Amino acid sequence: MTVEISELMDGELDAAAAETLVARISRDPIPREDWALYHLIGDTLRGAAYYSPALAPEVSSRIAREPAVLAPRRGPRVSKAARWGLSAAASLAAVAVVAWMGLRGPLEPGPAQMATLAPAGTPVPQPAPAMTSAVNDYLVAHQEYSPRFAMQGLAPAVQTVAFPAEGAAR
Amino acid sequence: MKFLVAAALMFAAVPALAVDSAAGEGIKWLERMGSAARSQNFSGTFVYQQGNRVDTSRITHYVDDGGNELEKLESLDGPEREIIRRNDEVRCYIPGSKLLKVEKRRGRKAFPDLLPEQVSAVAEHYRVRLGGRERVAGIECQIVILEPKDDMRYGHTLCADRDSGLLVKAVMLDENRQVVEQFSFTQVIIGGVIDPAHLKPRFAATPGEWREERLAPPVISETGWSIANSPPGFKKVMEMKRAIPGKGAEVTHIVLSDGLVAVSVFIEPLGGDKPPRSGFSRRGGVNVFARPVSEHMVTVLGETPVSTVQLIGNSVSYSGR
Repeated sequence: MTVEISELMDGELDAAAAETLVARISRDPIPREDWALYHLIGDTLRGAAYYSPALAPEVSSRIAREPAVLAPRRGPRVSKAARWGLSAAASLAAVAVVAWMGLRGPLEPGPAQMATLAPAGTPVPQPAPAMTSAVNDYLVAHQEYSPRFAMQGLAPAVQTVAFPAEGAAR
Repeated sequence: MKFLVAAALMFAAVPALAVDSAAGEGIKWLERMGSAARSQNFSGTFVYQQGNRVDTSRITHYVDDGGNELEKLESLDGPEREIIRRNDEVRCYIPGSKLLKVEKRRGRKAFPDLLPEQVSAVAEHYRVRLGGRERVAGIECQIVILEPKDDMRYGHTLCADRDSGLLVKAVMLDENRQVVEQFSFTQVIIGGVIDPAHLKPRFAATPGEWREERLAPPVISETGWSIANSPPGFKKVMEMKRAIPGKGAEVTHIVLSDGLVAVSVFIEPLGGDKPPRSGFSRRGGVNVFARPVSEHMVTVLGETPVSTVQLIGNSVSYSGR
């Protein structure tokens, strides 16, 4: 069992075996603990700052204590805004569109879609489903030309390897 | 009274001087990081992490007696990829597709050579200061912190080897202090002798079996599109028409950079069948903003705050040729 979990993490199991194992992990707490533990080991070995989900509270507290980590803090107004539900955001955005139209004069085609625009400082990221595949192609093209080049931007022909980790562990 | 004024001035001046010298030290470290990445021999393994992806690569960097930079970069996760670089000539081997891409490096950066040659440009838009010390991959490091001066870019924490100055870890943090992306050596040997055999490609790329693509260096060409209002420090580094896999028509691609991060603007003609959609999305640490402009779809993305892609997206316009 533990060997199989390890193989699954390394992408060495075939699809059928992986599916069976994932189903088992998701209903049985013992292999699930192994799964989480192996990810923790893997993360630690890689020296990754991103750890597996169960460790989130520990990571948060470590970040809080970490003297090296420094970035501007946002005001309380923003974090409060971030907690608002989408409906609140939508009505806010509607106000923003009116204000924005007033400021900028006539809009480009498609003003209705601009409702996702939020006032500065309260960004409300809203994924537009139709954008998904287009954005992935662009992401690869962007990586290729980014000054922070990483291997993943290299071969557009090479498919990104999906990580089954998080979804399966829950 | 005179004495009091003089004393007050003195006390006022001391912290100001202290701040300046700390910034000066930080900038010296940035310069060391830049030159170490280009002039030191080193070999090691590093991880690149963005969102929940982790990529591991092996790097070997060697400077020969003539001052030529030779580098081999191998991906250790996923499909095999290997990059051999000699100065600015880059050969990318992709054995899975039997493809060899040959191109000029076109000024882009790769870990651990992430800093622009003109470090002073960085100090214009980031507050540079020294942090503490940290141990990374067994190396005693000096931390240098880059705090953005505005909300148009993210902060960086850089850790450099105290002896050689080589960058061993680079972390980009968003406004909520979450990691956007990071590079970190997990093992590295700095200095010493490197066997030139380690810099040879593992693949022969036999003509006939392998396809060789020679990519012409992209030139800044007028596309008729302009960005009226770029965020401070973001300059156009590229403008071209190009083919993008998955796209039918040719796409205009404009790249803006502040020296540390880039924002890409993609402009493609709107197809008649697809209704234009606009809005924000986020992929890992990359923010995306799209909106239709003059019968085209403009998509802006980069490792920056939402406000940056939004500002750029809203100032794209077609000025014609």
